[in-house]
Amino acid sequence: MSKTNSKYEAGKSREAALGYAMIAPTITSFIIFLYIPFVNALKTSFYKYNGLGDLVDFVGFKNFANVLADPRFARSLLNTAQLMAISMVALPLGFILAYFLYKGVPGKKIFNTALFIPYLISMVVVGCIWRIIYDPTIGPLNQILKSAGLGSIAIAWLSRPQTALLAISVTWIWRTTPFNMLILYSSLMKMPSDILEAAEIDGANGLKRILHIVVPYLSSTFGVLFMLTVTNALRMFDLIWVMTKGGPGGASDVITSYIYTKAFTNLDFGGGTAASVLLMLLMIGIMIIKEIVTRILRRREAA
Amino acid sequence: MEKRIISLLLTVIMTMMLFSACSGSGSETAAKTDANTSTDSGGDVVTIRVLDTFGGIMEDMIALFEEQNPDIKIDYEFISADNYYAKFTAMNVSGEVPDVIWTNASFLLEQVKSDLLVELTDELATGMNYEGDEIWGETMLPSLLQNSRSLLRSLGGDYTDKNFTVPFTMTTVAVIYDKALFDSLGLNAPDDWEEFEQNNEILKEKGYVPISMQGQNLDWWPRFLWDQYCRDVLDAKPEAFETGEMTFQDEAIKQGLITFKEMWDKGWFPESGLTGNRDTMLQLFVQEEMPQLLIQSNYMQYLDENVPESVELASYPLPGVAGYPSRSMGGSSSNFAISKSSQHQEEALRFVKFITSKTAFSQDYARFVISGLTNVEMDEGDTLMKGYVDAANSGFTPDIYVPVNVTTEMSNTFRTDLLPNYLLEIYDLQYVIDTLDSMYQAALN
Repeated sequence: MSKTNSKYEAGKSREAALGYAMIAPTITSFIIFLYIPFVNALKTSFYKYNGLGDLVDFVGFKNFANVLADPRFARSLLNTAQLMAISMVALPLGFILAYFLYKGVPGKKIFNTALFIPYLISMVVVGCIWRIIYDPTIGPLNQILKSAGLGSIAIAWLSRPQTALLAISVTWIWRTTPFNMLILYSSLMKMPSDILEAAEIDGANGLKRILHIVVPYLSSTFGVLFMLTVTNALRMFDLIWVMTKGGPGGASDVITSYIYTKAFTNLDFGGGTAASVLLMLLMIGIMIIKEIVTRILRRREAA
Repeated sequence: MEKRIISLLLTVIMTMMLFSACSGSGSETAAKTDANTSTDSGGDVVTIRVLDTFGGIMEDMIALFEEQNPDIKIDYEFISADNYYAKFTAMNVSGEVPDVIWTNASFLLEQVKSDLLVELTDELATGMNYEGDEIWGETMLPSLLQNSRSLLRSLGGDYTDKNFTVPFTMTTVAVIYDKALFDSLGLNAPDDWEEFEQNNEILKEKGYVPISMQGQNLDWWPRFLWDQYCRDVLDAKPEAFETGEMTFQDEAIKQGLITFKEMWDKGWFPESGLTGNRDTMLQLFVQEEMPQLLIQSNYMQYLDENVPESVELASYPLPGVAGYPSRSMGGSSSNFAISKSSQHQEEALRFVKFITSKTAFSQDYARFVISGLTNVEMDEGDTLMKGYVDAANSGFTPDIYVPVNVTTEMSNTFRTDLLPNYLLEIYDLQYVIDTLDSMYQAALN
């Protein structure tokens, strides 16, 4: 018996060792590329530092206080929230496109591919293209508006504080809708068709089938896409930087461009890393809220 | 069992790949170091790394240098000025600062304070130039060298009258314009501000955007105007702001901003200029939507190669708003320095001497660049460059004049926050003035 036990224990140890060995590369890369830079950034946030030389000027929480007191930080947070809210339009848009593809349209395969092309283009290239589209003098958007007799609304979209962030948001929605469409379409394809057939037999019209069957069925997918939209909006930088660099006058400055400007343009790495730590805390807060909401919903479903 | 062996093998391979990726740059550096340190009489080549944001003629210069100096190879890296500091700090942290680096007033103070650069004062004063026939420093226009030295004035003490950089070309800003259009409208290059205003009004009436203004250089216009309005005080007493004799509350400072806003309100600038960059302005000019460009001379080559045949390029120096002779901005805006961490300072110095030499600037590729060298004559008959030659001959406003750029943060805040919001009437004039004042006081302390 003891021989059997020791064999069993040895086998378990070997399995455990193999398991640890298999996750070792991932853990190592996490430590090297995530945890060590994070610790360094956290340390830098307590110093006044211009990016050159050693960390010598310890200032405690002063960088955090300065960032929180900076009206531009508050403005960038507000802009990020606005961007996040407007980005949610990509969810119903993606659903509409996915549903049409699911129902079947002529040339479905071509549409499927063509609609996904924006997602394949690099964000920087998307920004460059749309910056030209929005140009008030040589951009095709204003030229089309003028040709259609709508010259009064042919404005400098990226250079007016009222429209700069909105214009960038439209570009962002154009870029992200295909991804939502693809994910929702693949979920729709897995939906059992007999549910919809039964509903049709029971007299439910198209809209009722969508609202009461399709949408609830896709609720978990919507949840995942919602969180991805939130986190992507929080991380968005390249589109802002290429199109407006946060201008005019900070009107399209989001939290990531604020951090970049603070560190690399204003040479205030202490302040920049303090702002990035605050962003991290914000994202953790959002995740915690999401977990709490998910648990509450699960408990209700179980009940 | 087989599965376990395969799994273990895959794990080992992944780990090895991870570590080889991490050590990849290290082994490349080791190889480069080995190559770089091979300097025996067998004629091995030394490689020096150059970080540059000037672009333009640099690649031609490097080709010529390598041809004349087969023992030195240049590993050239261009980066846009917008991303320069991000790149430089990353290189510094990783211990890979290039041997020769471009720099300017925005970054030089920090680099000198961090003891990253080789001092060149003695070499300029007594060392020979690239050709070996003159003292190096004497081949550069005295005003240009002094301009370069003055970048460190705010550091005071040990840094007074010292050179840690050499100026590369005489950055000159003037107006490139479409002479063919001007001729068709009966306009001439303006000799004074009133004529400049009249030209702009006519161009506006004809449906053109009169003149350029780009977000990355939004401060140019106020600085041009301040050079006129503040000349009587600041030329006599350059330290007036430091001593408190002049402050941002002065009427001359306010007038500069008011005039700039008036130009904006009249619609002389493209609206897209608030967020657009130099490329946007170049495109507007090439597409014949905006017939005047306030820009450095080195962009003349791009325009010469890309404008339609209907466009005839010419240039003029911007007239002075207050009647003083107009001075260009720039001067020693572009500088090169040698890194203290360079393993090949001698070779780096030879390269820096070359790019500030008559040999380098006497070539066709340098036609649209003003060298700033005493032994290179500017072609006074070149109509394309006439405006730039005239502007350079009129002298330069010091880089730090009205001190909005005494720190990088202040310069950036002025350019990206205060000015655009002032033009858009989100901030009023007094808010802008008060903010500049408080930022300057904080910088002094």
